[in-house]
Amino acid sequence: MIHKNYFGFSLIEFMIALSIGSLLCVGIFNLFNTMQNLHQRQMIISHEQEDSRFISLFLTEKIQMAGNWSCIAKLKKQPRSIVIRRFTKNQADSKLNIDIKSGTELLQMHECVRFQDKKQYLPIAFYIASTFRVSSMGKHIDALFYQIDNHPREELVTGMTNFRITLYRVLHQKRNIRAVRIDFLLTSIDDVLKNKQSYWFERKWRNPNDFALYQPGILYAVRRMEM
Amino acid sequence: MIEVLISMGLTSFVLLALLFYQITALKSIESSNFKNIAIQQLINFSEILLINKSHSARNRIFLVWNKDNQHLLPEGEGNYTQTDDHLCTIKLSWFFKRQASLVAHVLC
Repeated sequence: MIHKNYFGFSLIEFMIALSIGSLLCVGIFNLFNTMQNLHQRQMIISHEQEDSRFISLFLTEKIQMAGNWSCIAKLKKQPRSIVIRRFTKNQADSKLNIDIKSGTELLQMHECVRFQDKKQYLPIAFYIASTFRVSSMGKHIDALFYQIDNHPREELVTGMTNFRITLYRVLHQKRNIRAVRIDFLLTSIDDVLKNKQSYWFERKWRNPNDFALYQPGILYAVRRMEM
Repeated sequence: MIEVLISMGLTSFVLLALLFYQITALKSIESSNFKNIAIQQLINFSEILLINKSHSARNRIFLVWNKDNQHLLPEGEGNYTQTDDHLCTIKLSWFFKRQASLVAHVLC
């Protein structure tokens, strides 16, 4: 009788190893996927946080200095233009010839700015408009723009989708704005969430139509310049 | 076969550790995000106090500010006290995994 020693896997062993291996592979794939999503979300939150801090500081400084006419003080006569104004889409279109995103507002402030190598008292506008770019997912990208007088606009914060303004006036002085409240909304542009996430904006809960991550922000600033 | 299974088990363990690390990092970013919002809300209220000098005006705007706190921060709640003639203390607390709070002393 001939005895043969067989080394290696039997069919049943091979089948068990294969099925456990496949289960582990599926698990590892899911882990990678989850980790990638988490990393993406971390990046978006930190990016939105950075934008929020930047815009709060930038706008606060601009509002505080609104009405600063020190650069034309030689004239000894205060300019008659309204220092801070708010425009709706229609008003911005007809009065300033600026096309802003519908449902948003334009903030205009007059102050001395360094422009073309000299200080000038000029109107500065802040508004949301389309960048005419699309994201990798084919979504249109909006941004907050900054425009001095009639000069070309400059992109300030990409991914800002809403900008609403509340003006606080000095009692019995309709044209004299003392403080400004700005409600702004930052977005991840692309869909990064698995479920739609509602957000608090302009004293109301809002339900988005997409799966993007929204970060609302509120800013109050008081004018420091003499009126 | 046992070697393959052990190596795969080790790989999954390492990946699970990485996942745990990612989740912790996300939580910490979310926590710093709430802190950032809280700081901004404190600055906002210090600006509000600058222009609203009367008690009634301050109380009216305080309610609006606190409503924003409730929605922007988890269980967010603010309070302020006038400690001196021109000095106010603003406190903002919220709950994210544990109780957190920020205090600011401002001129008002």
